[in-house]
Parts: sequence; C-alpha cells; structure tokens
Amino acid sequence: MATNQELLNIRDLRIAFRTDDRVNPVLRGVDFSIPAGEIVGLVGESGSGKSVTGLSLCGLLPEKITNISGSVEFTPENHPIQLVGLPEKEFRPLRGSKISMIFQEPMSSLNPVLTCGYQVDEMIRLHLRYNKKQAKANTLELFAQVGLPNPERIYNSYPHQISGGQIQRVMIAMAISCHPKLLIADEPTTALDVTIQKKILELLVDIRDKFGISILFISHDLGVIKDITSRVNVMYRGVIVESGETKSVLDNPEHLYTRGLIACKPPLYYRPRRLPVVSDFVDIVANGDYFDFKPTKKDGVEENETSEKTSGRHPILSVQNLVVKYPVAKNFWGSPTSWLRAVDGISFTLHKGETLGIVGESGCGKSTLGRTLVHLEKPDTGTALLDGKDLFRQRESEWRRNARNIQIIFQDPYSSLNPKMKIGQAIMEPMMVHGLYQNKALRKEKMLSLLDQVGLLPEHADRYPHEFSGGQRQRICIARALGLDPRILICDESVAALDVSVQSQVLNLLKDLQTQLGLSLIFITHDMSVVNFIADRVAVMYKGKIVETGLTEDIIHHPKEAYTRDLITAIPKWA
Amino acid sequence: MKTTKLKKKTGSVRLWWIIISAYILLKCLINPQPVVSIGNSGLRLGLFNFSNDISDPINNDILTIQPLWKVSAYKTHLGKDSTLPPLKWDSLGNFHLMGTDHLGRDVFAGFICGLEIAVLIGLFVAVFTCLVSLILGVIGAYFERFPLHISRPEKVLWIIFAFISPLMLGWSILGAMTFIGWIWYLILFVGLVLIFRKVFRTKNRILPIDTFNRRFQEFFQPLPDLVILLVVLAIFDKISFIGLILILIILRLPAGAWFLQGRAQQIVHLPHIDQVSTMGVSVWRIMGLHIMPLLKSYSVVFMSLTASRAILSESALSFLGIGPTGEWMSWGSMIRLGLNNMNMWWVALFPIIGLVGLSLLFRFWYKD
Repeated sequence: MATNQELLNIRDLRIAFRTDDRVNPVLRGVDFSIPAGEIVGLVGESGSGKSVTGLSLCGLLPEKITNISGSVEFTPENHPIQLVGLPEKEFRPLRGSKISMIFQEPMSSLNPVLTCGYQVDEMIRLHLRYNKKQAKANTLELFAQVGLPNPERIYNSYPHQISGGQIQRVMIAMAISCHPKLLIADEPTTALDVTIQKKILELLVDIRDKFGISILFISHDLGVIKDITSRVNVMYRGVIVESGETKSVLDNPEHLYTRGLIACKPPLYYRPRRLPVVSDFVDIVANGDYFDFKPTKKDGVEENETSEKTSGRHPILSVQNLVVKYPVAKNFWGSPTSWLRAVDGISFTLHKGETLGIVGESGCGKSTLGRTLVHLEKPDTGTALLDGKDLFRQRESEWRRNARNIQIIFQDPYSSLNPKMKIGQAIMEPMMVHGLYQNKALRKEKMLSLLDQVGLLPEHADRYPHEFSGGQRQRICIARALGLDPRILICDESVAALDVSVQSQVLNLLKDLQTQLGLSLIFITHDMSVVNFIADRVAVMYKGKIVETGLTEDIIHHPKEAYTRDLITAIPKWA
Repeated sequence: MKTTKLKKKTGSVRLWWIIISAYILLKCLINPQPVVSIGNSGLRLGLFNFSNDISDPINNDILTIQPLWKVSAYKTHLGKDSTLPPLKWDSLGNFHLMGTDHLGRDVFAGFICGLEIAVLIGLFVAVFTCLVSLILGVIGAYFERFPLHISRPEKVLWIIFAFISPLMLGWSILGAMTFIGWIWYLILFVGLVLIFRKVFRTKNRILPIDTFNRRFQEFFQPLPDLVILLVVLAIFDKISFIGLILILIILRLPAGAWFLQGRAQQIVHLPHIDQVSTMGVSVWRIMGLHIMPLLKSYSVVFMSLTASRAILSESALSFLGIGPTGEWMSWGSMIRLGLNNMNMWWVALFPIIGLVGLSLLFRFWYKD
C-alpha cells in the first residue's frame, strides 16, 4: 500500500441483492477510505445503502442472496487483507478482534437471558484466550473505562435491568474489549435521548483518543456527524455523492444533494415559514443506474424571523390536573400496592388554531398524555373540557360519536394502517362510520379531494399500504384523520421515524393544512428543532409534569428551568 | 406488483376448478349407480349420493345415464372368485383395479367412498372449528387490549354466575332443570346485569373476558380425543355422521381458540388498531374488519392441521369398529378388515396409503 495511514480502503464496492426474478443493486460503486485513528462519518437517508456498507465490512451480509464485487482492503497490521470474497472461516477471527460493530437498537443487541458481564466475558475469553478470573477483571476495567457507574452491579445485571444509555455503553465496552482496529457504529445514538446521546458521543471520541481506534460512524443526523467526525461521506442511493473534511463539506457543500439535505433540517435558532425540501434544490432524475442532479431555480431558504401568529385566543381544549397511573406492584389479591404516575397532574389549555408543542425525553409521559386524550389510556383523575363537556366523563357510545373531534397520528407509519385494506377504503371507513356523507359517491369524492390535499394521486386509492413509502403513509394517515373534520389533531412523534427530507415535507404539509383548516395541533416530540419550526407554544415535560411552558422563542432562547437548558444545549450544535 | 397479485389469485382459483371438475368427471366415469336418472321419482343425481343404495335403473325412467365403469363398494359377489387380488377380472367380466374383499366387494370403489367421507369430515370439522375459534379468539384478544369496565357489584354478579352455571349444567344433566328453566335463568341474569349497569355508575373493575377464555381453553385442551369419543359412544351407543363431526369440532375448539387468540393478541397491540379505535369505529367492526382478515394465514395453518387430525380420529373410530359405519364404507373399517385377514393385504394397503397421503396433503395445504 502507498501509505500506512489508511486502515481501510474501499474501491468501487458494488453490492446487489438477488430476488427470485431480479437483482436489486444497493451499492453502485462506493469509494472511500478510513485513515488510522480517525472518526469518519457516513451520512445518508434510509435506503441509501449506508448500513449495508457497514455490514459488508463485517462480512455479515447473507451470502446466498448477495452479489458483491470491488475491493475492500483492510490493513490491521503490515499487510493488507482483501475482505471481499474472504471465506467465512478466515473472517471469523477478524470479527470482534479486529473489526467490531455497534448497532442501533441497544435493547435487542444483547441476549436478554444472560448477564451483561457474562456476555462481555465471553468475547474476551474467546478472542484473547483469558481465563475466567482474568476476563472478569478485564471486563470490570472496561466497564469503568466506558463510564458505567458501579461496574460490579452492571456486571451482574441483565439487560432489561439497566437503561438504554447504559446498554449502549456495555455494547461499546464489548466492542472495544478485544482491541479492534476499526469500530463500525451504525446509528448508535438514534434510539437514545439527546442528553444521553451527547454523553455517548463524548465517550466515542474519548475511546478514539485512548485506544487509537478508527471509527466509521454511520448516521442520518448531520448534527451528530458534525460534532464528532473529521471526514464525512454523503451517500445517496448507493453512491457517494460528496466526501471530504467534515467542516468544509457541511459549511460549503458543493453537491446539490448535500445542500438540500443540510437545508432540510429544521434550524434551532430561527424560524422559517416553510422548510425547504430536497427537491427545491435538485431534481433527481433516475435513469438506469445513474442519477442526474439538476439544479432548480429556487436556491436558498426563505427566512422569516418572528413568530407571526396572534391567534384568536379561543380556548378549545382545557385539561385540568390530569393524572394517569399504572400499577407497578400488586399484592396477593391483585390490588395494586404501588403506582407509576406516568402523567402526574398536568394542566394546559389549547387555543383555536394554535400549535402546542409538548417536548420531553423518552419516558416522561408525553405519549401517554396524547393517548389519554383519545381514550386509549384511562385517566385516573382530572378533566379535559372540549366545548364545556368533559371527555373523560362520557359514556362509551357518546365518546365514540364525539371521537371525530380529536384525531391522532402515530409515530410509526408502517404499522398504523391496516395492511389488508386499500387506502381509499381506509380513508372512507371512518367517514362512513360517522355517517358524514350521505352516500358512497360523496364519500369517494371527499376521499379523492383529501388525497389531493396531502399530495397523493387519485390512482393511489386502489393500492395497499405496503406499496407506499414511509412519508407517503404518513400522508395517508393525515388524510384519514382529516376526513373526519377534526378540530384537534394530535401528532405523536409523527415525523420521528421519517428521513430529514421527508420530515420537512410532512411538516410543511401540516403547517399548510393548519392555516387552511384552522386546526389546533398538539405536537408531541422529542426534537427541539421540529418544535421550533411548528409550534407556537411549548410545554416541556419531565417525569410526568410540565416543568416549563411558554412561547416557543422564549423557551428556546431564554429557558428558565435548568432541565430545559440541558435539553437545548444537548442538541448537536448546528448552523 | 398489482398484476402479479392478480395472476396468483386466478391461478389458485383455477386450481380449485380443475380439482372439482376432475372429481366430477371421475364420478361420471366410475360410479356404483346411474349418474343421472329422470323418471317417476323425479331427478336423481347419483353423482353426489354415496350411500349404499344401489338401485338398478327403474324400467320406466325416461332418461338414465350410466357411468362408464360401474363398480360398487357394497354389491357382494359370492363365489369361487370372490377374493381377487388387484388388477383382475371376475367371472362377470368386471375389472377390479384394487381387487376385491372376501365378499367380492370392489376395493377401489370402497377407496373412493372412503376418500369422500374423509374429505368431507376433514373439511367440515376444519372450517367450522376454525370459524368458531376465530370468533372466540378475537373476542378474547380484543377485550384484553380494551378491557370492559364494569362496576364492583356487577363483577360480584358475574362471579356468582360463573360459579352457579356449572352447577346448573350438572343439574340439567340429572334432569332436574328443563330447557324453560334455562331460559328463565338467563333472563334473570341478563336483567340483573342491565339493572346493575343503570344503577351503579362508577366503573372501576374489569370484566376479565380474556382470562376466562384462556382458563377455559387451558382446562379443556389436554383432554385426550379418543377417550372422550369412547365415553360419548358409551353413553349414546350409536353415533351419526353429523354427531361425530360435532364432537370433533367441540374437541378441537379449545386448541383452536387458544392458538388464534394468541395470534390475535399480537395483532390487537399494533398501532393500526389504536388508530381505528380513536376514530370511533365500533367494536364489532374492529373485530371483523381489522383483526380477523389479518388472521387469515394463521387460520389456514390451523385448518390444515385440524383437517388431517379429524380424518385420523374418524378412521381410528372406524378401525375400532365403533365409528359411524354401517351406512358408508370408510377407510378405517377397510383397514380393520384387511388387518384381520392378512391374506387380503390389498384391502388394508390402499386405504392406509390414502390415509397417509390425504393427511399429509392437508398438512401441506397451507404451503400455498
């Protein structure tokens, strides 16, 4: 090799998956390299092939259905090893001891019936041939190094007994236990809260400095990439469209796609009226294997600094002292002895035509709040007045009739539609149940106009949900909710599962619909920048209580509570 | 995407048509009685009549269509050549593909008769068991996700009902309780429930429909099929075809409800059920339109397993000589005959092959 510096050198890597009748190309010639002791980022949207790249470096792709060509040269010691086509027998000793991987889902990447300590021990004993005692000492040392409190306790606990952040630390300890040269981190912080994400990122940088491990950091989040990587590769549909020093790529993106991707992310410190979407920057025309990126006329961001809305101040929903609690422990007779108060005495008012953002970390009770308002959870005490009527003191038939007033859109667009129902039928069904239109023709007319409103085509009505992408399904869910003419729309993490560019489209759509229809929105999210874009007022939740509430600008720029301040500073700095 | 789906569907429908028409063609060729006869006694379709009534065509019939090859599983032919091995002609010039038994009855015709009985029992038991257990399972699963809230006195009432009803059942078996008595009992109970619902408004207890379902299934599932069948036969010393099907359905029901309720509980916790529920869609609509269609594949698996099991149960009973025999030739009775007279190996061999083949066929049914 020309230089000793390059640990991993990928040249023209092409991967395709075979199905029964055709071959789907996933990577179409990827070139990049990872220098020793550096953190290299790989950023792209879902389906761009970034995870497949990571898996191919570990030789974890299913051999039977994969076509792979190109060259991956890995140089752990003096001589390079060709990873493409390396037989499984020779790959196995590399995996874990030279290359190791951290996955996105911390909860499912550890075996739930073995203790954390045992699982790390196993690795060490296998690769480094330590005996039991040495391995345990080594594991405890590693646990201390990755910043786990009380390593002895963690050693003996099962994965479900410790938190998600701690599990991710155990995973990192496991990954670095055999002194690998390369660590592949596939979205390691996506499932974690921002405050924990910040600490994990610090840990990764720390590990790089301490052990000299190179890290390939795969992520969809440009903020995270900017925080920790030194070089970045932007991937789009199996090709690297841009690569270079992180700072120069993100500050002065040359490629149009990168530019679009950067602009899509809702900014934290100012408030555009509309979010730009990738198609504002490029027309991506797919012809065969290649993509033409053509610039469109619009180039740039419409900026609008102030929050413009002065709503009429008609309260539409007022929630008083809402408590939702779950039994945690029960005695012999089945009566609960202790309770978890998921929502602990919350009061707020929602005005007509405004958007209330509810922000908090996972487990703070924000989703429970939304689900309680639509009768999916049973409140313990408290009232929610809509038109002077208490939502929680209605008989069942009554709330079913009034259900159309409040609609909810869930996080996961993949499972919130009945897979056996055509989407036209799915949109018309609730209208029919509520008897909103006299006959089928009128309902169909309404359904087609709704599809048009959310930017779908009339012929989509005859298709099944699996034929749509995540963003399109979320639009279908929105159309379905709007079919009932709701007065309040609750969005429960509705854009969290979507890519940045799709997320911005859905957010724009929601904002447009709100101004058209005068909807009131309750927007539940963990993402401060999304809230900044869409919400007029924000309520910050922590452990079942609202700790701070106020206008969005006030909260973002001048947070009063320490918790809010932590939440905002933990977001990767951006722009 | 759409076109491939359509193609697949027509393919399977075509397959069914081919099977059905091939069967009818076969019956037109090989039948113990006239395929169609129109006369004084009206139109008679011998095609679908597999009883042992092999009347010769009545002379003044206007029209009779005879099958090409007239073989009977019931018509005896006693003589020197009554017990024939396969592929032989008897003295009357009839060809016996699978030979005849000691009374000269054709084994091939018996094989076809037994096939019809087996398929009928398998399909009936499978379809009805699956339907009923689907309903029970979906109800159980739905009320596990969205529990029914009731008041405390009403819960006490339900508990009393649950304890008294088995006693009443025992009582009615002893003869002390009549049908009218049951109706009064149920009216009393339902009336009390309705009154309690009006009077007590604080609903802080849960009616555990799912738990009740589960306990019921768990209690009745391990009961051995054959033992129960023997007990039933000991009580009613004869059993009809319909009666056998009913008992087999009742025996398979707990397992079916258990299996399908488990699957339904997974589906009920998916967000799309939540979504539909928040739109105010009624309970029955959710169960019928949003949960049941998703259980289709599981139902097919369950039906295929149940069908083969029902066939085996019926054959076992016939083999023991206590099945619904006497009216029809069935595989179980043929196997018994063959095993009792081992010199006629062909009488047992072909039904055994058929039994194994058909139960395997039903088990592989769900593969497509």
